[in-house]
Amino acid sequence: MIRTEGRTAFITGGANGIGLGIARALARAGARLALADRDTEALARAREELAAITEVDVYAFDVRDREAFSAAADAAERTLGPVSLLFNNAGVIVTEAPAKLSYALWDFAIGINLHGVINGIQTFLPRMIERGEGGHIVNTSSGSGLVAGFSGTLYSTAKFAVVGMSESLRTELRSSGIGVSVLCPGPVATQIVHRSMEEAPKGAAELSPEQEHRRWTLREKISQSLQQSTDPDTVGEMVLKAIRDNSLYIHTDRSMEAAIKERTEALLDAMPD
Amino acid sequence: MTDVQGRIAFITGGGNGIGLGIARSLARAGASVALADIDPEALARARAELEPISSVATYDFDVRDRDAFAAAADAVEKELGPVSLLVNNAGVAGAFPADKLTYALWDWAIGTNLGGVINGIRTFLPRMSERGEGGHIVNTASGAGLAGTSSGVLYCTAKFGVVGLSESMGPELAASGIGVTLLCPGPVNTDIVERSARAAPLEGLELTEEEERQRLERIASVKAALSEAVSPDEVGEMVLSAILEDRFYVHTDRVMAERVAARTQAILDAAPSVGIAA
Repeated sequence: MIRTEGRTAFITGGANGIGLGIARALARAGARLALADRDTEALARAREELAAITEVDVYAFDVRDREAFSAAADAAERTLGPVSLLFNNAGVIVTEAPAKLSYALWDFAIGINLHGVINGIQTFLPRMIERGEGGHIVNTSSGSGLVAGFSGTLYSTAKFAVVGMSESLRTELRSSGIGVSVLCPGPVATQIVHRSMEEAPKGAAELSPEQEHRRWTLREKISQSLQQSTDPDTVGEMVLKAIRDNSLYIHTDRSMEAAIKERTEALLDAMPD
Repeated sequence: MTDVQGRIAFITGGGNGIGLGIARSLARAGASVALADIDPEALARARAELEPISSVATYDFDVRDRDAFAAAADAVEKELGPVSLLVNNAGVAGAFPADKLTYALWDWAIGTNLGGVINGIRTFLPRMSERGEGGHIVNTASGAGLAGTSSGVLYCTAKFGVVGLSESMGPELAASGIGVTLLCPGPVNTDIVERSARAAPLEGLELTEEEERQRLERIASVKAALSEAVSPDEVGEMVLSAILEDRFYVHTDRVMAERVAARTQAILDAAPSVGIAA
């Protein structure tokens, strides 16, 4: 069991949604916070809210930017002390039919959802290992990182990869006192759908106004249904508990259960005798 | 069922190993084969071998190079005709301590093993889907894309990604008559380990003597284990029958069965009791 009190946490996508929920839970548990986000207004709001209960610093950069990542790490460790809790949480969701995916869309989604995590690991893990004071890494994947078919090819590609990375890292880091968890949320009440839509580049195919409208309506419906789902603050508390218990998988609900069983059965049935 | 006779297949990593095994099977089944590889000598050998039984074209490029991929696609369609069988197979292996990884190693491994598949799909899928003549896509992942192995974080990350990509794409393409097969080989008798060790960008990698000794020892032991494993030609036949029968998963053995089952159990055991989600 790892203590969070007095440690410094670095949280990407930390100013909104699940990242902010995690930040709140950690602040209450006595951790210092470095929040990274592209949304400068949300960073200012989060800082104002959390500065009342803990030391907070904020960093506006894109997790795809390796140099900015490394500069933020230097700055956070100067201001708040060595980072030993790392949350690779920033993510976007874009759905598009596989045949219509442009390289720009692939790069956007894989760049943030997978390389953002890689960049976090690459930036902080060597520092954490070298210090030898243990720590914990939480990578945010998704229920769609365990079974495909719910959120589109771009999303599942990156989120599966994050699960594979987390499982592999966990085994490898066991002896170094650094725990690894992978957060596989079901629906959570965040603005990820709108936020991602605003920033996503265009697909390979031009859409007609009707297609655009249909897509907008569908996304609006998804976004509204998310608002009825698990609260990000509840997810933050689940993550905090998982760090203390050093649990590998963090689910926010049981929504993927049947699909996971079905997939495993198909995998095993396909194996030769 | 996806017919193979008379179709044109594009196979990355087609000059060696599993890719060559698949090329042989497809050529015998009456497909023309376009082979892409970074190994020009292997391409020349494969061409000489397969030309007596099939039309063959070869392309010497790295699957990370998107422009070269697009150029090869244009060239093959001029030379052999429209590609409707795509085998995204090129891959590299290599395990390094997680805290010693460099961005160069990440970019090499993720770029080849996952980015190469993405580039293949981005290059050929729009053409296949526009022509409306169906087809089949085979992506080579690995047993290491299904559950924990000792293959290292680079390999596991990329191969899990290929699994997720394929599992998502399969049902999405079903309506367009394009089948998807996900190949998750266990050990296969190829020289992927030596080939990858030669190709890996090691500049900046600072291993201790002990870590370097372990790395070399691992290469030797994996190499020895692979030399006794199933042959690439057998894997080629498995892939051919999966294409013909439009089957999704191809495993080459049962090596991962227990680990896949145990992993699923661990995932399910971690789910919260009912009633947490509103």
